[in-house]
Amino acid sequence: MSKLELKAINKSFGSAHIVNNLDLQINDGEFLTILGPSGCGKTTTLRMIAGFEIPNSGQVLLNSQDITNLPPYKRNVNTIFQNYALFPHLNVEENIAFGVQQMKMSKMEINKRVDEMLELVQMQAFKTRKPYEMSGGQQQRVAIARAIAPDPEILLLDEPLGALDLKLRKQMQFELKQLHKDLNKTFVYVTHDQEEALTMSDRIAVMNRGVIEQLSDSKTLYNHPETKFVAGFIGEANLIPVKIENKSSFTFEDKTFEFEHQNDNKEAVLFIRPENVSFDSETDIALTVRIEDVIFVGNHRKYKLVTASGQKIIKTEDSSLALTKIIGQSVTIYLSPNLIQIFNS
Amino acid sequence: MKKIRSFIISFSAFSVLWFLYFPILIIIWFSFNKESVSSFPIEHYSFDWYIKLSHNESMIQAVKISFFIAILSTIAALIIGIPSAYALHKYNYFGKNLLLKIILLPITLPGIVTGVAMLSFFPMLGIPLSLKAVLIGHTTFLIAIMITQILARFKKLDPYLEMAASDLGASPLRVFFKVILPNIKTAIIGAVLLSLVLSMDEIPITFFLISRDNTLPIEIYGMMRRGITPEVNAVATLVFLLSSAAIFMSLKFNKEN
Repeated sequence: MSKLELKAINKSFGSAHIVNNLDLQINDGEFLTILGPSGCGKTTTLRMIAGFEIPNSGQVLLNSQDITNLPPYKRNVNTIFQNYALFPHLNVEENIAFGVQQMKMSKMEINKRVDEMLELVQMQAFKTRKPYEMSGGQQQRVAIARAIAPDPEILLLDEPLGALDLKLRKQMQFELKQLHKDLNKTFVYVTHDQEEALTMSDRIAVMNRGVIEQLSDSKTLYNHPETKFVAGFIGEANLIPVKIENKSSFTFEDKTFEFEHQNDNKEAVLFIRPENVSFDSETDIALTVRIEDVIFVGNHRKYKLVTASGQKIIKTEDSSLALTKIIGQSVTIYLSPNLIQIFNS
Repeated sequence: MKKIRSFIISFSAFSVLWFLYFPILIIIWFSFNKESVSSFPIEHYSFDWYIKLSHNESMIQAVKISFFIAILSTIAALIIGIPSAYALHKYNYFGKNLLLKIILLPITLPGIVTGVAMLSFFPMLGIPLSLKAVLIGHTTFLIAIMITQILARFKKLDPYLEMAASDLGASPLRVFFKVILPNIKTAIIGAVLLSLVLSMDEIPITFFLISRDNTLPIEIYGMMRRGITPEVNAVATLVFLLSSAAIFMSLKFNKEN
């Protein structure tokens, strides 16, 4: 049984259809990330789970109970906001206690809970500070503690690390992941940062134009994208336009290659990751290219290749390998049938 | 060149200030004159006029009435103004923009227009010329002050605070009292001080609606008709000091975030 279920959700603002017939099942204790570019409907989806927006149609089920039309304060779901939204008139302790005070608890129990939370995010020393007296990272910790304190069924995180600098962001990614493990709670995380999504999530729902294009774990998403959008959005990808005649071949620059695929659209794209383009493991799919440039990028080396028709292809390799090619040289590259995919363009 | 320009600008600025405040300084100075004729040089200084003022029954009565009107109309404006400002801030509804513009009308219209309008309208409602009429008159323009001042603060308030509170299980009422109100508190105090001052020295509307009982400005005006006495100077000095203090505090509270 899923913890949270979104069923055929539609949401529009005026004439803009933001979320389109969306279905999503989230398992108990899972770290699920909704990943997508800005305007894809990910934040709106989160807001419908939190209760800040009501869908035009469809259902939100929490533990199989319909909460679609419940106001936020009647849902046992808490949010961590991008700008933290700490109450400026309350100190750290009072901020964390805010949600707990709504529950029927004695003063002693509330204090105990607040202390537990302070310890969890290691902010005991800041108990009496006001939000404006703390750095962004410290405010973030308090926001986390405040959201967890009422012991919600689900924790919603709306780009919570967006406002932090790179180093702190990395550290908080690690801490959030650790927190998820310790609390054993369901996390629904929204971000546009693919790296954040890949490192933290159990599963990722890639969203584009109001629909989920693919829902899978990080590895599958990277190695076996299901649509052109997902292939292009996650990591670096070569997306090479090809022509399709039948389901057992494709044509590129007047050469036809044998390849079994499921696509019947005439215009399609061939997908391959830059690290999978090979100079030496020979396959039947061989292309002649010219090396336009070689760039050193720290731990790897990037080749900018160009075909006879001017199609650009990127290849990367470990920079510890000896450099045997020179700029301007003509070389043959091989694409392994196991590592390529063909998508509708 | 730059120096000359800066000198000219600061000279003009101070001239204007001098022009505005010199008469007030003179009044304050004369209020300590022992003689009953306001002329230089002042030979003996004293608090005589202040002491005399404290025995002036009709003046004390007028001060009481003014405070009474100012406090009651400010409370009424608060009760109407805060929820109105909240609604204007939070909800979108038909005619909202028009309403926002009309709200300012009682401040921008000359008081004499409002005064005459109320003078002819109130009797139709069966409200006689009285302090009750004055109270309603003051409340109408104080509501405008309240709403504009508080709305300005709402606009600066982070909308996520309300969402966060609601998210943490607070009912709309609790959100308002525990989160919204504490964060607009200073704006409210500022607006209250400003309202008190504006009501205390309001003349045009009051003039049309008053019957037997005088408010302080009307009482002073009445005294002036019998000639300028140093007693008037003393009252003016006190009103000036009180008003300046209130306005100064009001500005301070409004700036605070």
